[in-house]
Amino acid sequence: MPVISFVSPKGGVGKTTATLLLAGELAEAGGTVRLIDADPNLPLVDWGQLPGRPDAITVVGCRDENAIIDEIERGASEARFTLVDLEGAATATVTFAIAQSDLVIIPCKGSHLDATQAARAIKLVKQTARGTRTEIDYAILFSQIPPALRSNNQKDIAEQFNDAEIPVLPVMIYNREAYRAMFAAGGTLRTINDKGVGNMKAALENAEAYAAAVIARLRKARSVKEAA
Amino acid sequence: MTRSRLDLSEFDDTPPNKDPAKLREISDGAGFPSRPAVPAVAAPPVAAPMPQERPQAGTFQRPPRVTGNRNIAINVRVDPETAARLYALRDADPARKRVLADVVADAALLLYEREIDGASQ
Repeated sequence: MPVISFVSPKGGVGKTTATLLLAGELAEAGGTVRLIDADPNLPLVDWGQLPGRPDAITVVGCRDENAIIDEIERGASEARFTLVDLEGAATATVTFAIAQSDLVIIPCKGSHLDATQAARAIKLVKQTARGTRTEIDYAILFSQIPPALRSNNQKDIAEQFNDAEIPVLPVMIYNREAYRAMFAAGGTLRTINDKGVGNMKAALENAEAYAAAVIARLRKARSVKEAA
Repeated sequence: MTRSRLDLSEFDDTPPNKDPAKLREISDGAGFPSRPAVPAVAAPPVAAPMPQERPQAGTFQRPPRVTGNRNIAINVRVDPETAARLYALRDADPARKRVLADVVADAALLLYEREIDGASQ
């Protein structure tokens, strides 16, 4: 069963939001999802204690690098999808999770500081793949992008990734109130009590397109692996 | 004729993507080092003996947040017991400035309440 890790050595780039959005859409589509919260602050564990969590989504916390491989293996055997939300720091836990992943998603805001850290994450994915002699697919995910307009910085970074042939998911996650509301009120975009949450329709469309892009990426990675 | 069974035990090794030692080696090389599973927590500093060279009382800056005005900080003089606690906290871990600020805030509030109590009696 696929394992997807969300990686960035920098905090505040939207890893947890991207993880939860994907989990919500996969659960909505009938999948079972194991969320492994490897962030020491355990934001997803906290979320899991709020009302509205679908039964299809289970959450476990894991702050121990010695336990994360076993935890991912358990998740992969028990749920259709295992999503690992990692700490925004450069630690060995990140490497351990990457080594077990079918797909590594690297969220990146539209700033050069984030892009530099994303490049570090890509380098780690490549070194882990080479060191373990496995294929590990990865893709950049632009996150927390203002919905109104794209900044020149973000466009410039996207062009640089493109020039370097670094894969970028074709859908970016916008900065939306609905995403923050999930962590305040509990639930996913599909189960949250949306009274008073602005522009839920746009948030749902964005989440749906994002999940579809991830699934397409997974399919592609799987076909490459099988061909190899 | 009996054939000897091949010894394949040498192929029982942990695959490299599940081998912690191998992964640590990769991780260290990439600048993603190991760290303790549980962050080290400083020993409770409250019981630390008060250094002899310290004064019996101390003056600490009350955080602007407590004064309600971002531009004003007030120096607060605290009693010897609180001063010892604050010095011990600061000496134990300089990174705990926020904690220190909170304790100063508590102490300042306590002193203020005492003053109010005293004035009302």
